[in-house]
Amino acid sequence: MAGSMYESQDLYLDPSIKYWVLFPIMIVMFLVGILRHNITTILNEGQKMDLKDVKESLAVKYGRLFISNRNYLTESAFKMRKTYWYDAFNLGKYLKDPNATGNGDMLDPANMESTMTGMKKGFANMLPQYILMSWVSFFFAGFVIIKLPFYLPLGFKDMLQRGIDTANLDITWVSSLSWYFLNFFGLGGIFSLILGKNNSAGSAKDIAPQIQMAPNQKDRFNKMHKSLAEEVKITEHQWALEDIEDKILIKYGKKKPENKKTK
Amino acid sequence: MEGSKFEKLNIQAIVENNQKAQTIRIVMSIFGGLAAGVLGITGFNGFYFYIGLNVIILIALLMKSKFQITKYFNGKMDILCGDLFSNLLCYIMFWCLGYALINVYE
Repeated sequence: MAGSMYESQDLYLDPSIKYWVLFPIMIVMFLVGILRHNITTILNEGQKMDLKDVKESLAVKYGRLFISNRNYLTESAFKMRKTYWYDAFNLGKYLKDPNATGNGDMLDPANMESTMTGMKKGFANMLPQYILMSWVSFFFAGFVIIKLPFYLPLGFKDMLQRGIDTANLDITWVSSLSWYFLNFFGLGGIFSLILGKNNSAGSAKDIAPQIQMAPNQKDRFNKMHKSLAEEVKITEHQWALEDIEDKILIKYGKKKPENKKTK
Repeated sequence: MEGSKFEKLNIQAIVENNQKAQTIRIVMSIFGGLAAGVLGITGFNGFYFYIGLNVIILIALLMKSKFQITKYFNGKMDILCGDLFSNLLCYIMFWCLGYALINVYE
């Protein structure tokens, strides 16, 4: 077969293991991922934003756009917008609740709901993986499924060959649980190919951030608006189209760039 | 010189370019993994194969963008490696699958 060290132990695996263990695990994990994505999408549709939520987030967006594009406005227009948005952000004109305080005590009954939602989400993310893992390790215990094409240190032997109680078996022959983990980590790429980048099919990488609790978000926009007010206050205007005639002439080679150093 | 740099990049187009590059990489890792498995590559040669495939993809993307990365991508790191780690996991899975199907269950 392959290199010399791989010929040391050759097992003959029954082809029906391939059809009844290898493929079913992969197909089931794939389908569970797709199902989870669809369920999450359906559940998230229920949460609707009302007009004030949209207003406060769009105000932040507008403020950022204004700051980054300020040089393309004429000076009078810039000054007008600057005073308007400074007042609007400072006084909380577009905020949903200008007096919201964010001393987010997690156990405060008012905040209990958001805390619980975060925990529920984390739990719902972990649960299908636990179920699948115990299903695989219970239902397909004791099968030698595949041979890894690479060597791993001997310390992994317990983990890779769980359920196979053969002391001298080469470490590259692994059990069904290892195939489960390979799928768990590897299917994320396929999900992002099929379902788009921000899918919720629950591969390895989006489990980790969800365990931590959702921060208290009540006064998030209040802080954002306050900091944007400061930012708007200190922005300065420099008209982008100043000496545009010279710039264009220099660009097309009709005029020599003389006074560049003075700038 | 402000004029030579592209200050006003179209963010949507950049996001689309990044996604397309990422799609190319994932497809590459899937089929590269299967190819590595079918060819019977074992050990570190498989990882070298993966790195080689990534280099080929990088060169192809550079040729497609006419060696002006900053014009099409936001930052050089995005095009240089992308989401290297999760693509590697995808590659390893298909490498094992192809190897098992062809070389283990003959």
